[in-house]
Amino acid sequence: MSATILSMEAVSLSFKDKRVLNNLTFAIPRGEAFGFLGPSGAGKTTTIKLLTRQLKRDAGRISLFGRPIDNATSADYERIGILSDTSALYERMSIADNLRLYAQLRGASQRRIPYLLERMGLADDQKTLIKNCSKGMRQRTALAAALIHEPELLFLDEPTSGLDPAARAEVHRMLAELSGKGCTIFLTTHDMAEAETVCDRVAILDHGAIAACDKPEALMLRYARNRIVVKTRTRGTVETSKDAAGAAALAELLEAGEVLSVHSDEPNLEEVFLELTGREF
Amino acid sequence: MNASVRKLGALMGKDVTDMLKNPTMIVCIVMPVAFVLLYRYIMGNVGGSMGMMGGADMGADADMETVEGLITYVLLNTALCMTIGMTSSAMLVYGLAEEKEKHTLRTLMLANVSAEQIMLARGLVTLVVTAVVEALCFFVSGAPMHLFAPYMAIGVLGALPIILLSLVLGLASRDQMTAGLYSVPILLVVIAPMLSGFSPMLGDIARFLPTGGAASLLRLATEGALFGSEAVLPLAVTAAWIVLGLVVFKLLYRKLATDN
Repeated sequence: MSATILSMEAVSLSFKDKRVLNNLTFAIPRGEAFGFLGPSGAGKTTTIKLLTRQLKRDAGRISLFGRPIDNATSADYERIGILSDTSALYERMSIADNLRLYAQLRGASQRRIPYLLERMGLADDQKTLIKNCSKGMRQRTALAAALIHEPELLFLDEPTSGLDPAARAEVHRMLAELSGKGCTIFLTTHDMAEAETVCDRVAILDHGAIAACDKPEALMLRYARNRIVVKTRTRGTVETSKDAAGAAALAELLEAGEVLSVHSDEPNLEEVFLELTGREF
Repeated sequence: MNASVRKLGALMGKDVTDMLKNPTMIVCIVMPVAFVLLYRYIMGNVGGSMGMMGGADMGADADMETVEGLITYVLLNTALCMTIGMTSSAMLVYGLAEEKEKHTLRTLMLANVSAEQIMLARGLVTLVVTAVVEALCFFVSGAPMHLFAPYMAIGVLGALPIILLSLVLGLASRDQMTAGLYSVPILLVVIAPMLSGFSPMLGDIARFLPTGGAASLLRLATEGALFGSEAVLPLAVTAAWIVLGLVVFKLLYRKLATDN
């Protein structure tokens, strides 16, 4: 079993009298892409802030690279890349100059810059000043800056917000590659499709507590309805159950040559969330 | 290369690049030079008029020397106060406030850059730029060259407490609007020695303000008495402000560096 890179154990946090995180517990092994899902205000960004020591917890234990986070050193933080909700770039500097700055700060090779510019679709705009960039270009530059030193652990807070579908797909491909190379990814998103695509495992956060934590497909199967949907030639859409009675009904439709398509009606992650929390996104 | 040195170099490079492209910073750099140029033009005319009134006897020559010495002091004092007020203080406070407002300070800290490294880079760049602007002002003022070395030493020394206090004020500013609010009082305090000629009482107070010691040392330098016993008090005043600046900085920067 891979070593645990990041873990939380019974972690809680309150702002004044309001409990914002309640008894969070999870462990992330090396190379896993872990999704933290929930609507705005659920506590996703607050969790990232705790994990990156921007906030201090009230209770519980957090460990980073196998050590208590309070003992984490500067060398540990050199192994981390962070794209936060407020990640910002220098507006009067170009895209390439911003990446050069972060490469220098991180001690990364300048040769990474052309590669990242190419992957992020920014090669043609590398001399553009950040103040003249669109939101998507800024987001891609910030993501490239977070990846410049090939981190072992990557915190991504809504990494594809503001990106068009093509750029989003490219980011997803990059994250899959990074994960394949052993980079551990902690990703927050409220985009369920993104979580299904990118994450090996997801935790659904509701009102500061983890409502469920598993592989996306396992969650979807767990909350699957006992229902098969059959589209027929003359009888419209027929719903039947996943049991002996359903099998008999399906067999009868097949024998009659009525079946156009058969669907097992599994929910998507959004529906799982609704099921778990009673709330919509 | 040592990681701290590497980061410091990167931060200083970034600060210089960003500063040269920032109109607010350019104004802070150009203003003191423009002020000295204007004062020289005005003072030159005043000196010329007094020379014409004095005639050619020995007493008039002595008066002319006094007038020229006074003009040199006024010009250099203006240069020093304006440079420290605009370049060492306003530029630094606005620069840091912008970093906080636009979240670039937080982003740097999330890239494993410490608050100490950011402050040190900002402080060093500001000190170097202050020295460059002070030197430009000196050459624009037309002051005699033998005053250059003492003027630069006094200028750099006088800028230190203001740089330290401005780092704290920059961190305390939530945004550039607040920075404006904080910069005005500190600018008034810094340029107070420039205005001390208008009132003896103001002059007495100004001697003990952060740039008061430097202004007194500058006066002694123009009078050729910099290495006399009279220099002890202004040196002590300047040293006291440097120590106070260090203490305030040490006490507050860590708390302020974790923005909001």
